[in-house]
Amino acid sequence: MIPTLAYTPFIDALAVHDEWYLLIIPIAFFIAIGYKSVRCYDMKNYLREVFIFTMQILIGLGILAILSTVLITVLIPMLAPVPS
Amino acid sequence: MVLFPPVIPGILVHTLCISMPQTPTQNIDPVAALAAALFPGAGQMVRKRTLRGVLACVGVLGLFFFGLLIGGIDAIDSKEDRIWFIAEAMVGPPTFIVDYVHQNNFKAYDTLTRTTRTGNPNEHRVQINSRWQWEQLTAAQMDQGMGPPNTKGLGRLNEIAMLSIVLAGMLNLIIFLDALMPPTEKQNPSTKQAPKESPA
Repeated sequence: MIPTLAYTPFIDALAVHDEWYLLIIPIAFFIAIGYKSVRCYDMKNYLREVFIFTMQILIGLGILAILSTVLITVLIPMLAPVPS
Repeated sequence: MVLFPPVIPGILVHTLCISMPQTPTQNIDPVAALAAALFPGAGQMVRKRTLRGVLACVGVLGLFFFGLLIGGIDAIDSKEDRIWFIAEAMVGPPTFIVDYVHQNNFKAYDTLTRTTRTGNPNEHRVQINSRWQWEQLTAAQMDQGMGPPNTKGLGRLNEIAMLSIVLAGMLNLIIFLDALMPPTEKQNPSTKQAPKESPA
């Protein structure tokens, strides 16, 4: 007999459907850890460069999200209004 | 004047040698490359850059296990998500091990479609004639909590999970290339000598 209702980490999907956009934070952090491990010239500045790179990813994606929202909700309805 | 034919290629080669920039010789290490292909960050450790290797390993495996945590074991599927799997495979053996476990310990044969697949919530795995197959559950069995060993990842979360593991694979490719050909001293600006001040 195999129980099905219990959540098993790493086997079943995590139920974070409403907070999906927050998942970019750990992803950006791990990318920065791995990338700066081979592209950081001086390891004394490693933590600082990881933080800066993480923030660059997050702010860049935030700006892209804002621009996409403006394009879809404001500009496209202005340029090609849907006939009522 | 007619040039002797063998002279022409010689002139071309000479011209190319002059026109092409001279790049610094890269120190290629096949052993480090093999180690990097076997496990993330191992190439840097072979090259005595232990701290960088450990941090590279943390970055790649962090993305890998974060993807598994979000999407479950269904985030790695060489049969149903073939294109994603090609990019995920760049992580190396961890991807193939997880995929092997997924295909053999979580999927079972569907007699209707004649394929192996993940189970539905109203099915469970049974071994019939040395082959695992899906069998429908009764209402009483479902009340007891029986079901498939895992649930299929769906929608946006499944995509984010696969994306996280694909990013781990692409990051590991960069780390592999760094282990194969690390930057030379000339390419590292931190080791450049400051220009000497000219006497006034």
